[in-house]
Order: sequence, then C-alpha cells, then structure tokens
Amino acid sequence: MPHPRPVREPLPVCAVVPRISQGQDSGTEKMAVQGQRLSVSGAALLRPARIWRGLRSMTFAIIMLLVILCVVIAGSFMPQDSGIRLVYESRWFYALNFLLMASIASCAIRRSKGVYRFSFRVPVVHRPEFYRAADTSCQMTATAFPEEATRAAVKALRACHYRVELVERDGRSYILADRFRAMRLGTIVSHLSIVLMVAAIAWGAIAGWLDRSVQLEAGGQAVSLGHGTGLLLRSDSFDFGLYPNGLPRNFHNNLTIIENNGAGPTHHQLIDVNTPWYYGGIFGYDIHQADYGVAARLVVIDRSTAHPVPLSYCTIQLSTPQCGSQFPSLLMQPLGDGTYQPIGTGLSAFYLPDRDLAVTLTFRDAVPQDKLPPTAVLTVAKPPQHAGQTMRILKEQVDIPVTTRTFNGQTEAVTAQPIDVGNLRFAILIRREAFVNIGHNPAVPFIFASFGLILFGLVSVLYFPFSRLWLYVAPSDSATGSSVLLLRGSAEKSRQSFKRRFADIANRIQRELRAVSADPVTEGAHQ
Amino acid sequence: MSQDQLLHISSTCLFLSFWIYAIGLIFYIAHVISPEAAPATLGVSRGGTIALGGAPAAPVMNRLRLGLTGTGLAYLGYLLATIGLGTRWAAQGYWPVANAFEAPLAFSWMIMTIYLIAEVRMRTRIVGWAIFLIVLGLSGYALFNFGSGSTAIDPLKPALQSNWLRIHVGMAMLSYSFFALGGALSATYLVRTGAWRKPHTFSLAIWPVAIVLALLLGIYIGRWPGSGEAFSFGKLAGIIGEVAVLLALTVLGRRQLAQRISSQGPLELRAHGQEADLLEQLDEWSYRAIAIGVPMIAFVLMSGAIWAQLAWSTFWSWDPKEVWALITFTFYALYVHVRVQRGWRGAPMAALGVVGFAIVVISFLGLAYIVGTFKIFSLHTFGNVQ
Repeated sequence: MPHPRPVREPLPVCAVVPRISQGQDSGTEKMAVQGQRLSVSGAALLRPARIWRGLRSMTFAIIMLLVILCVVIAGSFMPQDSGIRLVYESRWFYALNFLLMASIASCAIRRSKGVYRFSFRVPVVHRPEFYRAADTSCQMTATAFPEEATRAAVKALRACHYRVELVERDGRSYILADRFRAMRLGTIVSHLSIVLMVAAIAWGAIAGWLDRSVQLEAGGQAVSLGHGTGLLLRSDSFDFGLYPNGLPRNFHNNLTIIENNGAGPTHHQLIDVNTPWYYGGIFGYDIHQADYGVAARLVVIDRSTAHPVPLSYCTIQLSTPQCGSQFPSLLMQPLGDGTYQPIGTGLSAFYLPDRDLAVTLTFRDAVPQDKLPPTAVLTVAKPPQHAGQTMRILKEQVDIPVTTRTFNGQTEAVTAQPIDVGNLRFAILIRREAFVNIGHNPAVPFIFASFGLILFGLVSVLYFPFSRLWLYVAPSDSATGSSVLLLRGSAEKSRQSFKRRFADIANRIQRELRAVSADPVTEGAHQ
Repeated sequence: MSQDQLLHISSTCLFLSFWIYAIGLIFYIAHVISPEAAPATLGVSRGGTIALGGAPAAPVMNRLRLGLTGTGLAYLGYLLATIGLGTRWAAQGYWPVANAFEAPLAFSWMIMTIYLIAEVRMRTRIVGWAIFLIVLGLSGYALFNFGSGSTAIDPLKPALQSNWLRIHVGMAMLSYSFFALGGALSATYLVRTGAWRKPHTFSLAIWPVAIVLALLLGIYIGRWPGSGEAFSFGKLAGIIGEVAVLLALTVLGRRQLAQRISSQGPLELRAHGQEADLLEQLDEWSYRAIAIGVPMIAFVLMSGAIWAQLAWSTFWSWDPKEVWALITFTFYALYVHVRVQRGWRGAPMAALGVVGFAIVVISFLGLAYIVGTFKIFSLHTFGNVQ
C-alpha cells in the first residue's frame, strides 16, 4: 500500500520561510551550470576527457589561484632581483599563469551561456508548487478579482524598482520581476577581462620595448631613439628644483623630437615626473622623466703644441670606461645633503691615456635651490702603476669658482679658473643632465580597456545585487471575486537583507491590494 | 597661524584622540560582556508583516549606557583625529598620507569613519571592541614609534606630487577600511560563536593573528629589524625563533582543543533565537563589507599601475608593495569565490575574514619591516621608517 502523500502545512500569511541550504544560492533555482567536482577516484581520474573537464572546472582555477598566491608570497620574501629572476619572470611561473588564464577563460566561456540564460531566458509560468518550494515565499489573499489583484501587484513591484514580465493564461496571472538582471553578466565580463589584461601585458612585453635611463645633456646633442623609429630626441633645457635639505622637488625637461633622423619636422614638449610625453598618441612612444644629475666634461689642452688642441680622454665611472674625442661626460648627482658627488661606487674620474693622468671633480658646497654648485674641487693625480702603490696627487685646487657662460646659445657652467699641470691646462664644463625612459607598448589601449571592463564587471556583480521574484495570481473564490497570490523570491547574495526587502515588497503589495479590494483584505482568512 | 603652531595642534589632537579611543575600548568591551536583554521572538502579525529581531522586552540600561558612552567617546576621538589630520594637512599643504607616521593615522581615521557609519546602519555595537583594537594598534604604532615625526614634515617626493596620490592612496585606505570592518565582524563572529575553538578554525586564524601581533610587538619593543639596520644572523635567528614559537603554540593549542573536544564534546556555542539571527547577520555583514572592498582594491591596483606607468614608465615592476597588493586582491577574490560559488558560510568564512585583514596589515605596515629585514629593494617604502 503506497504511503499517503504528506500533507503540506499551509504557509503563514506572507511569512518568510527560511531554508537552511548550505552552499546553495536559492533553493531550486540553482544555476544550471556550476563548477564540477573532481570527486572520482582511481583510474577514471586519468582519462583524458576527465582531465580536460577538470582543467576547465572552477575547482582547478581556485587551486591554481591558491598555488600562485603561495608562490607570489614566497617570492616577495626574496631580494627583488632574485625574486623576479627566479620566480616572477621564470618560465614555470609563466606556465602557471598561462594555466590559470586558460582555466579562467574556458570556465568563463563555458558558464557564459548558462549565465545568459539564467539572466534573460527565465520561464515566467510555473505550477503553484514552485512558488511554495523556495527559500523565501509567502501567500496572500485579496477580495479582488485576479485582474485587479494582478494590476495592483504589478504596480507595487514597479514601485519597488523591479522589472516586470506578465503572462496571463487560463484566468491566472504569472509574474516574473527582477532587479539588475543584466549585472549578472558582470561575472563573465570581469573574468574574461582579466584574461584580456594578462594577454595584453604579455603582448606588450613581446612587441614593445623600453629603454631605461637614456642620457640627455641639457642643450646637448640629440640622441637617436633607435628601434627603426628614425626619431632623434634632444633636451633643450632641463631644470631641477631642490628642497632646502637638498632632496629633489621636481624636474622639468623641455624636449624636442626631430623626425626622419633629423631631417624632418620637430615637435616640442615639456615633461616632468608625472607628465610623460606620449609622442604619436597612445599607440606611439612614451618618454618619461626618470632621473637627473649633472654632466661634467673635461677640457684639457696641451699647450706645448704650436696650436693648442683639446685632448681626448676617458671617463672611469660605471662598468665600462667611455673614451673619445667627443668629450664623454662624468656624471654627478646630488647626495641629498646639498653636495654633489660623481656617480659610481668605485673610482669616478677622467683619465688621459696618453699622459696616464687622472682628474677628479667634486663639489663640497651646499647647493642653493635651482642652482649649480658655486665652487668645485679639482684634483690631478698619477694613477697607481702597480699593485700596492697609491695614487699620487700632482695638484689639488679647492674652491674653484663656478661661473656660467653662454655656449651655442645654451647657458652652461664652467670652472672659472683653469689649473695648469706642466704643459696641460684643465678646465671643466658642467651641464645639467636628464635621464629619460623611452618606451613603446602597443598593448596600452587594451590594458586600459581591460582595466575598465574588470572594474565594470566587479562593480556590477558586487554592488548591484541581483534578486528575482515570481508571483502567481489565481481566483480563489469566483463567487466572491477573491484571489490568492503566491509570492516567491530569491537572491544570490545578502540573503538576510533580501528577507527584509522581501517582507517590505510583500507589505507593499498588500497595501496595493487593499486599495483595489471591494472589501478590505481579510488577512489570513484563507489559510 | 604658523606652520609650527598647526603641527603642535595636530600632534596634541592626535595623541588625545588615541587616549580617548583607549578609554572607549574599555566601554565597548564592557558593553559586549554585560548581560544581554531578554531575547525577543520573531513576530509575524496577522497582517502579514514580519518583525525581524523585535524590541527587547526589558532594556538593560547599564548595557545601553555603556554602549552609548563608548559611542560618545568614539565620536569625540574621531573629531579630535579629524582636527589633528586636518591641521596637519593645512600645515604641509598635501594629504597626510605620504609617510609611515601619517599613513597609519589616516588609515585609522578612515576605519573609524566607516565603522561609525556601519554602527548606525547595523544598529549594534558588538563589533566596536575589535574596531577599536585595530584603530589603537595603528594609531599607537604611528604615535609612539614616530613620536618626533608628529611635528616634522617630510618634503613630498617628485613622484608623489600628483593627483594620483589622492586617488590611489585614498581608495587604498577606503578599501582597507572595509576589509578592517569585515575582519572585525569576522573576529566578533568567531568570539561569539566560540568557533575559534574548533581545531581547524583555530589553526587557520591563529597564524595571521599571531604574526601580526608579533610584528606589532616587535615594532614596539624595537626588536624587529628596521629598514635602516643591517641584517644579521642573530636577527634571522630571532625571526626563526618567533616562527618556531608560533608553530609550537599552534600545535599545542590544536592538540589541547582536540583533547577537550574528545572529552567534553563540541566547544562552540549553539546559538538560538535572536543570537542565531545576529550571528547570521554578522556573517552577512562581514561578507558585504568585504564585497564592497573588493572592487576598490582592484581599482587601487589599476590606479597604481597607471600611476606607475606615468611616473616610472612601467605598469608593474614586482615591487614588494605591488606584490602584496596583488596578494590582498587575490586572497579576497578567493574569499568571494568560495562564498558565492562554493557556498561557504559561518566560521570558515569568518576565519578567512580574519586572515584577510592580517594580510592587509602585513601589506600596509609589516612590509616596510620585511623589506628592511630581507634587504629587499622597494620603491614604496615610506621615507622615515626607522
């Protein structure tokens, strides 16, 4: 003998019926497509189809995210260059990221159809049982015909800012109402945009280039941008301001670009630290003010010849000495305490190979704001000839005044009193030096676009909570013209606050029903 | 009014606000531990209206007074902190967020702003104790670690002279404040339910909490190596020792809890009625606070990348600060996914909320010391970290 069907207890009038459903969004309205579990053991796990399905699952994406999180944390405890070399720019880290992006992309694409259908292809008509089997539901009665009750309910739902779809069939009304249904697509948008962003960054790294610390002497020669651009870049003037304590305040670099390797038109732009020059727009080349300093160039003249000529020399400063007759410069930088010092940890000096002499330049005076150092210290020395020998100073002159003079239309500083050592006369020209970073990244527009889309997706999903209501209106007693209304609601997030909102909506509907009722609504009369 | 006068007013107000917050903390704790009012039942009227929560039958005035006093002190401290930061802003001409003295104070001010709004909306003060602990930790770190910094001004570096400072740092403070609120709600949930006594939750939550406490303790007593000090094996041994102690405490605590559970049964509380409803609300509020912060931290990452491209010509340079901001975002992205897609609720989510805020603290404050300890180059470390 079959068991009798259990009698369902009647719903209280508009009572919110909570259902404790751990892990489920909204009762039977669970999304059709969700991440699939990898819970099968044994040889079945190794089947290619299962592996492929596993790789496309959300579980795999979450595991990858966790792994990358751990790796990134570990890398942050390493010295930055080692961390970048061994972790962040290693092939295996790229592979992990590629797997994650592939997983996110496939997962998002796989879910997109389901999310679209969940948002836009929702059936309006359901059987009455559907309205009772929900996390949040209630039942109302009204002494009004179903048509009037439907109109009142629609009015109430619209007043609560719900979009309403209405289907009337067999004297019954079926209503679907929702808020922010399009925002549900934000999850797909944000996930795909993350993939777009990473792909754009990768493309930019491959197709773009960045030259760091390109040296430009203010008022000096133009340098070529290279990379087949045919562009020359020149600094017409460069000013740097210092705070009273010697720390840098800001830089202003007046740049000129000459097209066609110097034969074409020129373009000018003033840049500073936060205002780069996007030459050619966002798809062109960007020039950033990176660093600053002072370039010192030695003028050494052999007076023993009939016609004194400048001698060529080398600068010994960084890793590779620079030599030539084009006056390579020694680079100086403020120490922050008001004095300048040549850049370089080891010996920083000019070197004359023909005479085996070294010339050093330092400034020891406080530097007033926006000014070059007022005095210099110049030393001419004989470098050590063999191990154990020290440098022998031939001449040292302190407090040499530094004055300015106009040279090729540009103002530059010069040590006013040259010093003589034998037949050689030494003087030093000083110019401000700008360092710029020059780059080209064709992916920048796509990176910006992905930023916007990610934000749009996150904001739409997390700030505009999606909720949906179904309402069923049917005649309960055709003789008296009364109706019964079943209201069902669901929300994916914030279920507590939705319960309160659901109660408010139910109250609103009841108020509208009372307004259209011939006789005031007899609440709870039909339970 | 001269710059020095403004700075002295600022310093005085900031110190005063700290001590008022400290007194406020006592009142908030007393408010939480004082007896609850009689629980009200869920009321459903015949008209179909639902009374969620309901009014207490007999309000306990002592509890109410304690809470009101705590809130009054919170507003007073907040007012003083606002004056303190405002006068500092007026004195130096830019937002006081640019160094290790100003940033924690601005952060604690933002947390209080968010909390005071949330307290009104949530209509409960049970989270105040956790918020005040966070605020006192942050502002105390700034005020007592950089005492002389309270009346000194650092010149603004060229890269920081940009509107992006306000946009990027302001949004970072805001997002971190929502995470702080989420963390405080999570901690309150764990304490009220006793869920922290579950071995798994204990193991998950104790580590970040202990690391942050060790970090703050190390900063206060000056044992933790600062950025200006040389790295030594003695200090490394100290750090390893601290980690070992933490590990031992975790293992011992977990074992102790497991033994108690085997003899006494589950240690967590079984909430009913209004308390159960409140706990569910705590869980949901915590999620909502964090969900508000997630798009903000994404914006922080993006605005930081754009600013870095403008100032340093590259979007991303794997700087430790960038890395930890990414870690923070990734962690909270995981948090949202496990809740929305996997349906986690209750104690596990609360434990994650606490862990998340610990990551925020490490990212915001601890990083300067990690960078100093491990001699890692960073463009983002504050100028006057000692």
